[in-house]
Amino acid sequence: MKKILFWIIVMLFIISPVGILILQSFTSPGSWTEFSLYGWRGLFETARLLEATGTSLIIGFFVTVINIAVGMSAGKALALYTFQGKTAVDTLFVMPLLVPILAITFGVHIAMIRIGLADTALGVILIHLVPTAPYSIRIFRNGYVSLGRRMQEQAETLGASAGRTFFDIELPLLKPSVQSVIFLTFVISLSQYVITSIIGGGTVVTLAMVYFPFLDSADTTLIAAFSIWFAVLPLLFYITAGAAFRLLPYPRKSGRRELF
Amino acid sequence: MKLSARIKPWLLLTPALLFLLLPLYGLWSAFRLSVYPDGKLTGQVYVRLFSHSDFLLSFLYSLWVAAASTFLSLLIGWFFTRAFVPMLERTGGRLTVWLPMVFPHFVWAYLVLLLFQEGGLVSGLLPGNRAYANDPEGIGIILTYMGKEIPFVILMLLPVYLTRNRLYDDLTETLGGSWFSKIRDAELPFVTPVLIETGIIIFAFTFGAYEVPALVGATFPEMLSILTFDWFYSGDWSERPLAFAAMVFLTTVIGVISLLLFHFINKMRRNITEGL
Amino acid sequence: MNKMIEIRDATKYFDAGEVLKDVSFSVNEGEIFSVVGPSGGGKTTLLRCLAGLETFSAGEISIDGDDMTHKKANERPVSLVFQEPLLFPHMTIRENVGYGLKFLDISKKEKRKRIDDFLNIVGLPEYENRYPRELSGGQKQRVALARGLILSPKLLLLDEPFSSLDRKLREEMRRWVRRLLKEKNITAVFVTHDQDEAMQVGDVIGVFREGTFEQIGSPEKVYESPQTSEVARFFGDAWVIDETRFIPKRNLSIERIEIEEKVQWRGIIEGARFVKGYRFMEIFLDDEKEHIMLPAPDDFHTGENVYVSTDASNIRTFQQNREER
Repeated sequence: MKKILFWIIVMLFIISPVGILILQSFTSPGSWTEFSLYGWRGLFETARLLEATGTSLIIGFFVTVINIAVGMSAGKALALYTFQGKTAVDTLFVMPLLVPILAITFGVHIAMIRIGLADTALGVILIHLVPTAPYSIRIFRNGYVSLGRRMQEQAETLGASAGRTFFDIELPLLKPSVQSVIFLTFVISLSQYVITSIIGGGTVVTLAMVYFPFLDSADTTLIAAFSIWFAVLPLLFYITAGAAFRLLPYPRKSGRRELF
Repeated sequence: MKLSARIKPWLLLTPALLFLLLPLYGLWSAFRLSVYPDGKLTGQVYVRLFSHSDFLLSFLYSLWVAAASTFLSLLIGWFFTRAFVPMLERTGGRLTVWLPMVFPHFVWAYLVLLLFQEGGLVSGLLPGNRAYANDPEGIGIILTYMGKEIPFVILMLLPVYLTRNRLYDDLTETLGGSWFSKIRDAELPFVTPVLIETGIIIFAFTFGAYEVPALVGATFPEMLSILTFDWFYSGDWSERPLAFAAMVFLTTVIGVISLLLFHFINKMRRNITEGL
Repeated sequence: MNKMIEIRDATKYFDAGEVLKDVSFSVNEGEIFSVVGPSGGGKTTLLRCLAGLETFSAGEISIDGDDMTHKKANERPVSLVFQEPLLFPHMTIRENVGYGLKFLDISKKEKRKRIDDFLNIVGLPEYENRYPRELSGGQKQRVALARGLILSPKLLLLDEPFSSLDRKLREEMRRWVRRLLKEKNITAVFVTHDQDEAMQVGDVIGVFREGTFEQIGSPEKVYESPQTSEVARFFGDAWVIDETRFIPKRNLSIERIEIEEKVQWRGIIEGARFVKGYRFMEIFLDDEKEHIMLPAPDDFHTGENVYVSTDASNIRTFQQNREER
């Protein structure tokens, strides 16, 4: 009974809106039934789209890598060490989420112009860290808390170096956290319109920069395809990242490979 | 050995602290530019700001939209989570509920536009045939935020419900408590800190975000973010300090509210995590 | 004596199968009934059914003569103290102790008085405004007990309340709880997996295995005359020879030589153990392929071949006829 209610609600408020977008993207304009690739063909024929997809992927990639580095180290410090001022640091790391991002972006804009980061991808990558890093730090902190200290201490007492401990123990066991960070960071980075536009100054054209003016066109089919594209990209990115993760020695889901 | 143990956490924190310089500098710089508009210290900009009728209206309007979006998202997200824990425990149910989080806010705004604007798919079915997008009450914005933030609330609350000790429910019952006392005494104390924290994040975000009101907001009244963005990019530079001042003021308001709430939940958290 | 609680033919099914099988027993007013048995035997389910948190699939329960079979937990005059203290972490000790009084229709003054009384009883009056996080494990469990007792329940249920405490504190708490319950003439059902604890706290013992009572009786009776080999193995310190015969361990002795008129089993001393100040030896019996621990005179040493001996008259048989209560 409850299960039915659950799926009715999910159907009404989540599946059907997304379903409408998917349906619209695969039908010809003005029709709900006639199958057509008009929208998708139109989308990929837009030269700026592919270019913007590339730009978004590159920016998203670097934002993600920095997030993993920053989040993992800070998360580890917060989870496994006690030190003075820990609560303060902890609260400070939530701060970027609470300050309006426009306040920060307005503020750094002039400095970015002065040091030549305005209108560059690097500037955009930096500003994208603001709405993402606090989440990554928190995800890794929770990951390290549940991992605890003992597993690493065990590895160390068995003679593993700090580096070995990291690659053999921490990284594989933190895989879920890494996956969450990759996915969340990329999605958030992809969603930034206004800060990208201010810092990128129209020179750095990400997907969001192309999408906004598109909405003024009346071509609902094309917009639908474009909208779906925004959900497809993170999934592709995630799958690729997962495959890359697999190249690491141990973190396999069916971790039955011999270690020796 | 002892020295390195004391330094190690700070070494690990260094990248994150370096990152913090960026938002801190941005905030500081915005503040500086709002009190030194022409190279000398003055409160003139704030006087101009608070006597600006557009600003006051925008501020109150943003407050309404942010408060309504936050409250409704928390309430519905909480009801939904506690009612459907068994379904959310399964990967399929969980992922479906989280699906909206994959889409950027502006895509969800477009959906609201598609469904609720004049002649939209849903607004045609509603009585009175009225539009709920680009409306002066801000319903379109609120609907968009709810669509995106309810899954976020569920994401934050679910771990609490999956790990909480359900024996507290039984205990309350054996001591004579009703269903209401069960929720109040055995459930809410564990949920409230997370609920408040999530609420602060949503409130701060919806108060100052630009994308959604830019798409589904009305031309009048405007959300604060739209107004300040226009000031920032207005042709002559005379209005830029106003943009800085408005954002500094908004930051202060959010800062004070969240500081109070954080203080409250930290106390609560301490009792709960150490008292079990 | 007045029967405070009576259970008749109680049965409980879960999807996985039958957890309680035709359980019947009663507890007299002011009596402590220890339910002891291996974990996973259904003891906690039995307790939850008595509390009203679960319902019996079949059978009846009455408390003080009133039928309770269909009453919910918050309508039964029963308090349950759980394994963990489960104090409300956001409430002070005072608020915790007085929690159940919120649902009773009595005056504020009366409530205050009762809380003061119980804070004194559990010896924590100076902690009234502290929070649970400031208390030790034993103190928390005492608060939990006060919180249950303050409602003057007709029946108090205790679900392994000492298992989260360390050994020394556990001993102390057992004595303290027993004295308190006796002083207040409280009827209680006490669940544990520890036979020492069951004997120390209970007036009556019920050995509970696989959803049913194997034997109910006074601690001495159950200890001395187990009715089944399971009871003897789990509860009594008897050496079970086979499914029909056993010997109380105190009737066993260790000899170096074969003695004609005695019954003897050959074995080898594998090592010495010390329990509560006494020296024991662990002997491996060659033919039975099992270990037995017996008190050891000082001149026996590890590695010696010995004979575990007894008189034939000491061998007893299980009385299979189950005693009805």
